Amino acid sequence: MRKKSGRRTNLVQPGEPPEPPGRRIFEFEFPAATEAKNETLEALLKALEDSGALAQEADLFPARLCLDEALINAVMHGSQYDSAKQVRVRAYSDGASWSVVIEDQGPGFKEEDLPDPDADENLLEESGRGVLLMRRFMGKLAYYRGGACVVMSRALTAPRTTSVRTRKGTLRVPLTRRVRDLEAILEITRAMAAETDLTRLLILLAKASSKVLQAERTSIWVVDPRTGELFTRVAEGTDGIRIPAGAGIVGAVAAAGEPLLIPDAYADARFNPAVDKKTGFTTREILCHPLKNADGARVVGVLQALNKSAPDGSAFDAYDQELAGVFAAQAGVVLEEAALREMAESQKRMQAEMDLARTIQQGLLPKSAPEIKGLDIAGATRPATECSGDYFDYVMLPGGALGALVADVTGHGLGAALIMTGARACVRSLCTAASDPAQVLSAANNMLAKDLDGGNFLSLCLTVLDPRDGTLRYSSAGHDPPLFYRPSAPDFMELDSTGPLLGIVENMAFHAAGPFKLQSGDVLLLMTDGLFECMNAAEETFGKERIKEILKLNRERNAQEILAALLAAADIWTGGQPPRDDITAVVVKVGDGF
Amino acid sequence: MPTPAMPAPGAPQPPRKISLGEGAAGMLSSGGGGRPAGGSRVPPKIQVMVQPDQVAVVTILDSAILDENNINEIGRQMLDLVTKQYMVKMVLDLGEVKYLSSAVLRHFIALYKAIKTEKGDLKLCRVRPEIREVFKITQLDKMMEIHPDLVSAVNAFKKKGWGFLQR
Repeated sequence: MRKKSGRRTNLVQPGEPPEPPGRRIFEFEFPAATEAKNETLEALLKALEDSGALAQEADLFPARLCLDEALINAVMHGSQYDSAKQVRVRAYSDGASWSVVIEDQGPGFKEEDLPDPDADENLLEESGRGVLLMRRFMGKLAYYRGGACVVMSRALTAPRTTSVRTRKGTLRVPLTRRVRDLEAILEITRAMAAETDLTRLLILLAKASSKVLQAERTSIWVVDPRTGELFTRVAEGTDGIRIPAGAGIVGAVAAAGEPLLIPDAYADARFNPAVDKKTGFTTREILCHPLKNADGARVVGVLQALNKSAPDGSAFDAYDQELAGVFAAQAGVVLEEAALREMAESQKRMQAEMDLARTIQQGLLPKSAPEIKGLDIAGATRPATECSGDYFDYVMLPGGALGALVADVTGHGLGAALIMTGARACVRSLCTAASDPAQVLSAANNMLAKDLDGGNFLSLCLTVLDPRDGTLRYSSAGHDPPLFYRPSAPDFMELDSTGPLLGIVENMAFHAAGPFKLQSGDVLLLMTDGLFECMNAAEETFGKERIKEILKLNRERNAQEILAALLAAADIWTGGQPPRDDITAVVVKVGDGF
Repeated sequence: MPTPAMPAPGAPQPPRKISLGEGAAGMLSSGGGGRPAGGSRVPPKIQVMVQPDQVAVVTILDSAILDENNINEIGRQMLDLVTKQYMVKMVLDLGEVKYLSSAVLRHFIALYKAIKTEKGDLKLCRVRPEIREVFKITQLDKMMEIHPDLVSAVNAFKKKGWGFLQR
């Protein structure tokens, strides 16, 4: 027969059990039957696991074994499988240990009735090992109410830790937590790779931050580059908020560019309780991390996590700050990318508008010269940028004379093109009423001077070719002199300026020169300085002498061919580089019968 | 049962596998097993492999032996191997078992006692650390040899000269 335990260890006491420490996490009563006992065991283990009491792998086996043994004892020995009897189970957890109380309605037992576990002759006894196992696996095991109530408790196994290197030294972090966090970060990285919308990306980040940091709320603040104000780009639980530069904790973090961990917000003088008042939220802890641009030089925003709500009641710590840094880095990159994308988009829009403006401006240039007997005319403009400040035009004046003009607005690009468009409309409309070029320029100057602010002006040369008497007259508002070539003459003639630049001051005097009698073979070249000032690689200008040579060499050819020869020579001179200034030229060749 | 050809000395002989399913179950229960024929038969809880030198390797297939009915069924099956099949050189393979309670230990002890009565031996192998701890606390490891793997457990029978038991 088995040897009974002679030893007394006060395992069984007569009195009532003490209330175990911690929060009650489970309470259940079940009839003393196998099925109900098995279900209760599983539910009890789940409750312990959910409370975090069985977080470590090493905790699982002892918990299951001892609770199993105790429940079997209550059902089998305590209640003799009498399902009319109830077994009551309670479980508690205080973060450092867990306890379970099991009460049955049986008579209890005496410690000396248990077999002595250390007696060799008891080794082969088939029963009586449950209490032994419980005593060894549990930190505390005690029976009360004469054995009808057992209280067992066990300390949580210290978690295995891993080292995390941070800028401020190495931290030890529970391995399970580290793995969980890295998994969450991996998950958010995957989700972010599939998302391109900035707002949705930041919402993803804020949610992941709240989850991993176990924060009640996360908001992402962005610095307004114009005012230095901070505004919420994404804020859980509130509408947009905007605060002045440097205000509150967020402002302090943006200004210093360093993370901040505030354990008690209301005790910190920098904390601004206005937002809490507005939202009804109560801020306790604040964890803030600056968002920086890609090279880390500039603070572009702040990530703010509020109130850690971990099941174990812990507060934000240095490791949380490190994790916040991971999300802040992601958010910083996302914002930077979005800003670059936006810039590229707006450049694309701008380019499209410039292209449109160019198309419109090109449409304003004459497609061909009017047909006038004895006159051969060709013109072209090459803008330095998309839009040109140069233009040329042909207008029919009252009385049947042809006006051919070239103009050059200061500068080039879109602004010059806008002025050119206005000048063109102005000159065109004036030419319907006046045939005197000086009168046209004088009136145009008055109109343009009113519109232009003084910093902008244009030069313009209007030549009038009159088929009625075969003459040339002109008026030039500060324009580079057109070249007049008569093959029989010893030298070129230059059509000097006869008045000031247009658009500077009103009521200026403009004069007309001429009439000059034209002959067959005469060549007139109107141009802008872009033509003769274009440079080669050695920074030498093309020059008027070369232009004169080309005109001489090509004097037998028609206007289109002469123009082509000029532009080709200029191209060769510049080595095919795009022109730095707009180039415009109009060639008029006088033939027989003019 | 046909007599197997004598193996060349030292040559490995394939083990006989007896699963407690259909035919094999019939064979095992021919000595008067209490398993009902047909009907709602529970799936086998153990698997038996008889090695050439009559060492029976018994593998428990339940990872967690929880329910009392299961526990008793496994205990009965194991005991039948000794009392009805005379498998007294037994290796109990616990490699699949992640959890057991003292109710299971009771059956191991009953099995051990039955084998010892027949002058045989019971060895354990592939015991998880936490279950090893149970054997240590209850001092059952003093009686039952625990081997890390199946091969060393089976070979332990050869070394100790159990050849005289071969039929």
